[in-house]
Amino acid sequence: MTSETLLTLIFAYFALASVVFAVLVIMLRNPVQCALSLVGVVFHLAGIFILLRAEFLAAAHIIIYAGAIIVLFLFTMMLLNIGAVERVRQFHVQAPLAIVIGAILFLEFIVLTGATITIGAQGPHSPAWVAGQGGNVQALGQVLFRDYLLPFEVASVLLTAAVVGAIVLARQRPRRPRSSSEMGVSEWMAERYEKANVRSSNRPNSAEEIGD
Amino acid sequence: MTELVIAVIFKSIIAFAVPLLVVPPLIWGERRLLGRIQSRLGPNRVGPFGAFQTLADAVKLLGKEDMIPAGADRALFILAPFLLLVPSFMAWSVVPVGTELHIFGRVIGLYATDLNVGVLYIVALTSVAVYGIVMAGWASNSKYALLGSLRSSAQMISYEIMLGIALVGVVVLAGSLSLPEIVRQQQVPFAIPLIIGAFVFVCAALAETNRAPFDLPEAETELVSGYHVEYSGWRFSFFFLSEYANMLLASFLVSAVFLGGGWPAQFLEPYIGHLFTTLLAVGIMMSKVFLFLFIYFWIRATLPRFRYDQMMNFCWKVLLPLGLLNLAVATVLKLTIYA
Repeated sequence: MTSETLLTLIFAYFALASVVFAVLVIMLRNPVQCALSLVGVVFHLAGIFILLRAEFLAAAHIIIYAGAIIVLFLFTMMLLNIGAVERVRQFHVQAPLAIVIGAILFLEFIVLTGATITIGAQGPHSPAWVAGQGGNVQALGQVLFRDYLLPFEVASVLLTAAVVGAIVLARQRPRRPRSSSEMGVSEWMAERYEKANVRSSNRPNSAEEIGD
Repeated sequence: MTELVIAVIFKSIIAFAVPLLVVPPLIWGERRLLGRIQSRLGPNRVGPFGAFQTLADAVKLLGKEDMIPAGADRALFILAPFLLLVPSFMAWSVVPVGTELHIFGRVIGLYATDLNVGVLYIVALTSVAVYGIVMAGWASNSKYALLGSLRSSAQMISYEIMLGIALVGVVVLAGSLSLPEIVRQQQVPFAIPLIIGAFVFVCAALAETNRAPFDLPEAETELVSGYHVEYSGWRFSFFFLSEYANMLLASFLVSAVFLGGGWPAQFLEPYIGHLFTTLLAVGIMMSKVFLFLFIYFWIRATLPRFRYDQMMNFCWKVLLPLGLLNLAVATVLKLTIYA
């Protein structure tokens, strides 16, 4: 077996497995199992990235999607009532919309791959150029921090703004009603009398008079 | 081609066998050492100095009834220990024991593979290990296990960021993401210019491996253990094994990335020849690994456990600023001394 056919076989496995897992994501009923299938998709896509000699992308893909985003999905779902979620109808009114969007994406995919195959359209960053930079990590660094530095910085500012926004939204209100444990005794008593509608002439004058 | 395949298979077997074979004596060594430090005997009944105690414990664990709680998600309950164990063994494929050995006209790399994104590969695998914890807690169908898994996974997600930030400083100085290249770049171990980064890395490694003082899943009395409270028998031993394999991995990483691997053996090459230099370098590397393991055990024997909120505060309010400071130091050094 030549290395060429071996690579094709490995690619076939990754491609097939990622499609199978993607189908499982929408077909399984238990949301936790769906999320795990999504992890399977992410892993097999990373495998395809490695076959394309984009190791950095593969590692970043796993760190960000599998290591952070889907873990957060799972965090939320672990605290749901899974039994109730499993009984929800699986395909509902959004299905036609999903079909339309899916068709548009599929068309775009056909056009792009078709252009590459038929007329040999290529971007400026060919495999030869990447090899000339000394590997894909170096090439990516060159592109991100030299050619596209401004968009990169803008994106980082945007992300920082989003983080600050999330903290501001999640922060507790500074003025909240005080709990009884933080009140003094007389204050607490006064509040209880107020609630019980006891006339002020019938109230003891201070906390000492209550006899503690 | 076939020669290459044989070399790869051979190295892979070593990379898998080392953690498996080293962990049982490591557990025994830890218990003996803890005994010494805490003025008691430690295991001393099975075999000479109790050396076969771990073996006896393993037999006991294997012989226990395999319990799966009622109402558990069976498939995920069974899968969870493997989800934790597999990443901790996969990471061994990029761990360097040394650099290269030139022998019989061949070059043999003393690592299973020299991945050009080795550092990222390790960070990715540590970030994936959290699934084992999440799934173990959720699939057990027990509120204590669920809360424990939320606690532990929040801990792992937070501290793995610190692990990454500490490594960024090293990557800046070395100019490479490949671990053997980082070892080669260290004329002076990076722990000297990047002492802050080394501190952040060691703390984050302790927390990532769930070791004292960050061992909240071990807190039976106050927190009812953690994500693995429903596990018993050999399934539980998988959690144990992955913890020790991770600890060993962290020790290898600190030695390679911050302590310079076989440094200073490479300066002796003109005097004692290549073969002896390489062997000496491997010996020095291993002694650094064992020194670090000793520190691990020492910390466990002496420091009290963090409370959960203290642990999170320490991560975000102490380690994160220190990690960023370390990155600034590394950048300045890269532009001045290391330019």
